[in-house]
Amino acid sequence: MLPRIRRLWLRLVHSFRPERAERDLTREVASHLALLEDELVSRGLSRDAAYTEARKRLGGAQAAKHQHRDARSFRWLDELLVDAKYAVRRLRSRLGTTALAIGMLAVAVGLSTAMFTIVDALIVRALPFPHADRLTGLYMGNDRGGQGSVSLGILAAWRGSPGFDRVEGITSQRMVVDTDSGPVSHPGAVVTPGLFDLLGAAPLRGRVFDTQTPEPDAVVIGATLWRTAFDADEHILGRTIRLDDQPYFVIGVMPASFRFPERDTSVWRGREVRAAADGRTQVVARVAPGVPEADAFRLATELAHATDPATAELYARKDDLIRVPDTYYLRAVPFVAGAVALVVVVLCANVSSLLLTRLRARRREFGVCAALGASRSRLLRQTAMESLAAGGVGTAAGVAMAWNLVSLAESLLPEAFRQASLNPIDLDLRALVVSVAVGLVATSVAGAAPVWLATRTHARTGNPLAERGGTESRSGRGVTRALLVTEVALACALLVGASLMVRSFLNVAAIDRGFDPRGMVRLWFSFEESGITDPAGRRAAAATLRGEMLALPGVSNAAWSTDEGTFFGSWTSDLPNASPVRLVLEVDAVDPDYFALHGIELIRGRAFSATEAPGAVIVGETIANALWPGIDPVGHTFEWAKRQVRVVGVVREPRQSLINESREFADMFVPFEGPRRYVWLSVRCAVSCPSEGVFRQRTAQATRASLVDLTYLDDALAKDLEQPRASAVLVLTFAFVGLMASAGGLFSVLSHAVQERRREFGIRSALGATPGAIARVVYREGLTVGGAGLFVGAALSGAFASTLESVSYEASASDPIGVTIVVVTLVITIVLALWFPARAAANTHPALLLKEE
Amino acid sequence: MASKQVEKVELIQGALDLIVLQALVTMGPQHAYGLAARLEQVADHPLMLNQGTLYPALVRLEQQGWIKGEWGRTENNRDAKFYAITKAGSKAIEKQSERWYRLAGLVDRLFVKGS
Repeated sequence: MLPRIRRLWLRLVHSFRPERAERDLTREVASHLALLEDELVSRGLSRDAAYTEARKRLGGAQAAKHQHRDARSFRWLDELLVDAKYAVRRLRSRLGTTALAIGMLAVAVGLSTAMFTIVDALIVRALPFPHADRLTGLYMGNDRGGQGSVSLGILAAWRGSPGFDRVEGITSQRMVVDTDSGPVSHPGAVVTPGLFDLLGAAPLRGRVFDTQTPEPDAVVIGATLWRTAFDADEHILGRTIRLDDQPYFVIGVMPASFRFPERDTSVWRGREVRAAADGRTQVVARVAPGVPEADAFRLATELAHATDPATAELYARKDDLIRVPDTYYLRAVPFVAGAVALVVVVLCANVSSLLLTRLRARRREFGVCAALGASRSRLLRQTAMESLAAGGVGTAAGVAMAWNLVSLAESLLPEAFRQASLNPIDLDLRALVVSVAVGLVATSVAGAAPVWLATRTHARTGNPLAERGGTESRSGRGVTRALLVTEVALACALLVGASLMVRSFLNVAAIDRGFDPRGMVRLWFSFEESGITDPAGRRAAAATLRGEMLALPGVSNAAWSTDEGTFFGSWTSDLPNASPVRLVLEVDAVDPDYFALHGIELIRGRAFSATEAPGAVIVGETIANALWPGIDPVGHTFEWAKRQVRVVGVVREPRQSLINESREFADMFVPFEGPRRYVWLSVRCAVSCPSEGVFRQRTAQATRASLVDLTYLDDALAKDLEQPRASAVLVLTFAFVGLMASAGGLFSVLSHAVQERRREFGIRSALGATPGAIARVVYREGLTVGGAGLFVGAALSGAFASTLESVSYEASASDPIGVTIVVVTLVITIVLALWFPARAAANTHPALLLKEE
Repeated sequence: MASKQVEKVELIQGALDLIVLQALVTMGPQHAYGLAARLEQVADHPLMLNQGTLYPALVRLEQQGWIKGEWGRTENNRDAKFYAITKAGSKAIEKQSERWYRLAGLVDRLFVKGS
């Protein structure tokens, strides 16, 4: 075995590095001939005769060398290497075209792989936890709503249910971490000790919570927080850190790939589960193997009712473990993925047409080679090598691009997209393999087709040199023109999509919010675990809290509000013969200063006073126009919550969310009577608002209420625009790439066509055609292709109009301005792409052509 | 007088390798020309061996590590590459000979007249 392996290795080495063996062989053959000549001379032959006889006896020096080479290396490998070197030389001789083809292939492979990776991570792939199909969130609710969290008593009861094999609690909570650079707020969670075990998560360092022994002072932190806030301290385990102004010691560090309950949760604090303990928590459970989910939920409902009679009208319901993506996201991501697919097709078509055109120009060369004895398979192998070399470099560049795009995806994707999945965004090998295969197949087919046709022609006619056509041949023309029409059509569809996305974004950005978000912060407080249950106590605490917030630097005013609920129903005004109107009322209780603070316009009437009489309400325009159309509703009444309420004012309705807001909802406001379990404080800042850490620290110092969350409203507005902006930018980029690829393809193919038709143009010129007339021939052909592409693209866009419009905001695919922009852009691009070929055709001089002949 | 067309024995690849190895064992280090001349000298029938045929065999044997070539000078001070059998080659020749004798015996039994 060893000698065989040794020989195999040496044969491979000699295939790639034949120089030394070749020199050795030449020297040895020369030596052999010299010795043979000496022998023959010693036998009496003359030197010349000895020279001839020696070569005859050797069997021919070249033949001997060939036999030597066949034995010392692999002939097929030698030929392959020769073809590869030839291919590289050919590609380098047309560096511009080669670079263009490689660039387009790289973009196609990179974009498609990155997009598939992102779509797979964000939409397709299941949760990254073991037994993900049995994991579920759990809450108590009914058709009218529900409670996002349950009591610890219910959680303890569910742990005993045969329907679940694990039940754990988790409550998301932002926590202020004292770092070396000051207090910083981080997304965190308070969890029951067994949560990590439920999710199959192992720490990077240290350990997770002990399920047997309560550890109220222990925390687990994420690897990213460990590196950024604590400089990857080697002694982090056991180190005491301050969270929300309280000391905790670190027992473990979770790997960056662990993400729960949010994508960027970085601190986990433990909580004990005792049935009698106060407190509420959200629930994550794993359905027991073999138990139908419906049965598990039914058992959970029965247990909850037995534990807490207050839940009698509620049922155990499934909750999503991640933030449910909104409808815009669910439509936008596949739409963008579709746009990527179109771009990839355009690019592959362009690469194919470029290669086809270049190789068609060499059909004479192929015919001559065939006439000189080159087999068809040899010619196909050579061109396949050229295509594969270009394809190989292109796909390698595409792989690098895909890797970079995926690496950047985490930071460049809008937060709303990223938060919709807990999966890491890692390069998907399946997508990579498919993209590379598609790219290589496209280039290989484009490389093989012209050779096949050229050598077939030679076989028929037997004389490749006889082909002296003065114009483009028909055989290849149809294919390249069809490819060009396809490219232009797809570029047109992309442009229509981009136009819709851009107009959507501009429409969304121009929406009147109905209030001024600049310098505004909404603080969400909870009195749930404060121990303050009486209304007077809560009002006093609220007053203290408001005073503390107003004392913060930069804060100029503050106003309370609470969510009084959502009311479905039909409402009848006090007008004679009034019909009931179906509306969903979203009711908030607000301070007298609320509207002025938010900059909400009071259209009619007045705001609440500090001593407002019971039953006063302020309505939004929707209710006003629905119940009292065309008249001033101030002073009018209608029945709500089993009492008559009187309208004292009408406001322009504020819009919290720009994209997803349903028009069925109508706002109504009642006077603020004091905080409930949860309450909001809207704060306006004169210049800039304090940081989140400052708000949290002040809350912790001033009161027993906890700051659940806060939102900087101008950031929220910017985030609201992230999705449509990202979609617009992405589709516009793809449309630009598609357009440039089509223009490039048009330019390249028609340049070659002009080259092939030089004799025709020379004849036309000799017969009296002006340069302008010749140029028009080229423009006519190019614009015919462009027109056909535009027609097909318009039909394609029309067929998918409803899909396109579903991700747009108040924009239509058939909008005249949008259509005009698309058509004008395409025509200008096509005309520019045709300018050089037309000019080259117009400058064809018959005298110069004759000289070349 | 016209020379008789002598029948030449066509050699299969394995046989040539064995012959070269044995020749090197007998003759000691030798260059390719010397090997070819010697082989023609001792054979009853001239081998069907234009001298270029020897080179593939030498390459095979050298790649397998059974012979080793080194450049030197002949008696007439000519540059030549001398091949010598290696230890591995000496072991290999035993095995190759056994194989050859088994094969030859089998062919012999199959083609014995009257059997």
